[in-house]
Amino acid sequence: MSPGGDWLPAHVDVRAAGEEVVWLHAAGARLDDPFFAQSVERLLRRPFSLLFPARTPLERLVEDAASAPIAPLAGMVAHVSRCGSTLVAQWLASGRDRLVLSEPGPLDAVLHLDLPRERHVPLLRAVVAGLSRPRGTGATRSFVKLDAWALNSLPLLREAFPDVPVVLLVRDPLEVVVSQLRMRGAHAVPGVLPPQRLGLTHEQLALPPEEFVVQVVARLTEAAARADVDLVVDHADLPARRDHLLALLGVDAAQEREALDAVSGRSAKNPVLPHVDDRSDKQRDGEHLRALVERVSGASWRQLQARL
Amino acid sequence: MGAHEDLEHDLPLLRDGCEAGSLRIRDEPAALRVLGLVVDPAERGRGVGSAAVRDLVARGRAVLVDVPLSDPDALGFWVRCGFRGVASDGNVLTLQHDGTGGAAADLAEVRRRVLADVALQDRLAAISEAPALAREVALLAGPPVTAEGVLGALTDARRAWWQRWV
Repeated sequence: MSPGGDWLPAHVDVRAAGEEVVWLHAAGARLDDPFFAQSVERLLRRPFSLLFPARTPLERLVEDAASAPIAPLAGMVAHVSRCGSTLVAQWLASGRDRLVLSEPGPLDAVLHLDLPRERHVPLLRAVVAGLSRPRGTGATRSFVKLDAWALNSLPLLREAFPDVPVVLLVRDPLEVVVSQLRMRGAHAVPGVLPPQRLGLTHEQLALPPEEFVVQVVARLTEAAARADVDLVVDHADLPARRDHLLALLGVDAAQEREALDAVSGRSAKNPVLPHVDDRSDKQRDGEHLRALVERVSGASWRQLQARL
Repeated sequence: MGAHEDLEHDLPLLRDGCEAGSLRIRDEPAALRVLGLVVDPAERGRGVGSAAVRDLVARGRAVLVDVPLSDPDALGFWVRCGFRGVASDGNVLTLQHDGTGGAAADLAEVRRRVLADVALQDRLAAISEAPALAREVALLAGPPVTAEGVLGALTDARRAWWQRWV
């Protein structure tokens, strides 16, 4: 039996015996935390979710996902990390009719399965459909903010969702490196993700910590430079280009100015804190890495700047 | 009289209403300790002992038992009941059950019922307090599942999710 329309595919358990989808009862959950994993943690505070997860074989996901109505996917946000993507997700989440899936783990798990394209594409559509169920929230459309490393899989995602607009957020690689060194994301810690997912070799896991992060950001910047997307926005221009970006995703910012401005004034990753512009701090703190970053990322960054 | 003796209990084991053996336990602060499990020779091999152990762990408390390392049959019995070794002095192995396995095993059937019944899902999902949900689920499951056992299963589930992410 397929999990009903109130259930959310919260996790994909990759096991030797075969992958399973773990569904949680999520009636009314708007998933509007800065990250999907935080919303799942919130769901797990409900004792029912802990006691009654549903597990289904991954190969049944295409059938399971079709068993309930969905809020169709209306846009994807790709990014190089630390460039305002979480803020964009929060802008999108500020509308009650919109469901935002911010770096959803189940999509990342399915995206990186080793499958032939004819199986991979339907499975990607199915996992997004499962995630995009409104579950009583009133959502009529959904958006996905991808993980940064999904840039390497963008062609596959575009094949799965050819009519869905994709915006790409980028940033001066030196500022991204400094931000990651201050507080590392999963991809900036050697060994947390398989190196090939980041475009790195196993040998590069042994690089000195700062150089590892520089190489990770260089691969992301390269992938961004060759990405086929509908709009590229630099972090530095994000406030000025907000309305244009949202319009591309079908959101009329003029109708929601107050709510959007309120989101912009808060730290996107930690909404209880005010937003602080620290670009000049990051440029200063990265001075000792400037030459290295220029050597490995400079060409890609200039290609990206030409597309802004 | 020893300090513990007043906390020791003999529980009769019944089969079809007739006494078929006895289980002696001691109620210690951190656990129930099995001091002896005896099944009448004529009743052996009929699941009387394992049913008694299942009832015991369904109380939702940790259960300990000391088994001579020289007795492989007894060791095999307790391991089959879900116990695992936690300490040994070289002669005796102390095995422990965390007190949730009985509930977890019996909850499998309740899970099947809940996942097949949307109205039941809605009713149980609306309960936000773990003890209240545990009481409801124990009522739904019937013996030997207890509210304490369900709370133990919740703790296990929380730990399993946490381990998945760290």
